[in-house]
Amino acid sequence: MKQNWWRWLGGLLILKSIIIGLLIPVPQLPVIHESIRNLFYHVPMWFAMMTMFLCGVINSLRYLKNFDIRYDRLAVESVNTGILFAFLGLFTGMIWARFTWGDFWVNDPQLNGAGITILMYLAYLVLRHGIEEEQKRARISAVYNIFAFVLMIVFIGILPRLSEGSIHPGKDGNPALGVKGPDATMRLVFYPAIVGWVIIALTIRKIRLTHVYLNEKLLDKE
Amino acid sequence: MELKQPHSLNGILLYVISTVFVTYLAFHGDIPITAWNSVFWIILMFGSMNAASRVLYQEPYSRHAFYYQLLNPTHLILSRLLYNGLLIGILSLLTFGGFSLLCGNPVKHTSYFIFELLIGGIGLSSVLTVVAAIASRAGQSFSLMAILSFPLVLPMMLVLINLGEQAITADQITNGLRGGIVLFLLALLPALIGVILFPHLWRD
Repeated sequence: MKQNWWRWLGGLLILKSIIIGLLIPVPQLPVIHESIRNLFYHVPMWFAMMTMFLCGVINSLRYLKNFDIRYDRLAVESVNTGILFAFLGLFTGMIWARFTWGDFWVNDPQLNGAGITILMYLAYLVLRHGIEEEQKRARISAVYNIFAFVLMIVFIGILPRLSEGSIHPGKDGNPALGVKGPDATMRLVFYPAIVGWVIIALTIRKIRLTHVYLNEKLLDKE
Repeated sequence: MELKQPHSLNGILLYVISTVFVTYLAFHGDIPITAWNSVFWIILMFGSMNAASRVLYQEPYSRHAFYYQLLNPTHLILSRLLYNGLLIGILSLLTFGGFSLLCGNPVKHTSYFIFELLIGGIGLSSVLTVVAAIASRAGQSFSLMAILSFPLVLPMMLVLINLGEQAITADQITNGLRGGIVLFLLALLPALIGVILFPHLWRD
């Protein structure tokens, strides 16, 4: 329990962000109004997702260097957790969009980018299902993971800047951190929320990994 | 190597021609401009997907073993990138020709459009070649190839469609150079990563 204190800290940070995020006064912006509070719930999801995908690609690189199957497991579970958070981010965003823009999905570079990212990683999972042999699967999917990740970063970085006229908030500069509007108190809630969700993502990945290893042990015994 | 099997090349050509013809029939020869642009790029995307996958996935296992002993993987992927780039470049020009023959040619800035076409062809081919390599190592199925390459090709298609629309409708090309440079980098990057990663894929 003691060595896991930081996981509990993550839970506390999230709880804090949920409760305080609903209580504090927020600046009133046109169009967005009170729904700016979604910053506390929607944006950290993407941060958690990106962290997970980054972990995934790092572990894929490590796998290609050492050919240790453990890194492959880490990479897969990172991607799995990342996809979970991608969907959470998508859903929180869709609910928000329903009330702000009047529709669950609008044609916007930001949203399309998110959709493409999810497709990309679902394809990664499909690719893994297609290969029987363990080492081969690990190697090929690691290559795809790295390839996809680099392209995704480039596309997400370049595409929205090429096409003008995104209606997603925070379009100038960095889409997540550059949001104009949040004042000092909001930042006080926002940043801990990011840290909290990232920690929770790491915890979920840890649990999934443990599950995988335990399953393997059971199979070995039989 | 591929030239020894002219039937597969002819197959790709026939694919492009017949899709162009089907489009022509479906629109009764009278296509609105936005539809022209999008249909054109979609045909090109599927055509190049066909072309790129043909090179790798019609390869029997024995031939893979043969190459494996004979060639340096970096040389192999480089040659494939070059070959596919050329093939898709020619393919895109042919599609453009056929399309303007049958459905009319609304493009205002033809040279810019062709320039975009060629660079876009290189970009498509570099993404698709690497993905085809991955798919072929993973047990050769076209559906896998499609699943893997769609999300990767999609953003590039968006850029291409946007630039294409500009070349068709705009009176003056704004940021033409910048768009071209971005497109060029987008085309080079996947090829570069592919060359770096391919040796890992290659080992058995």
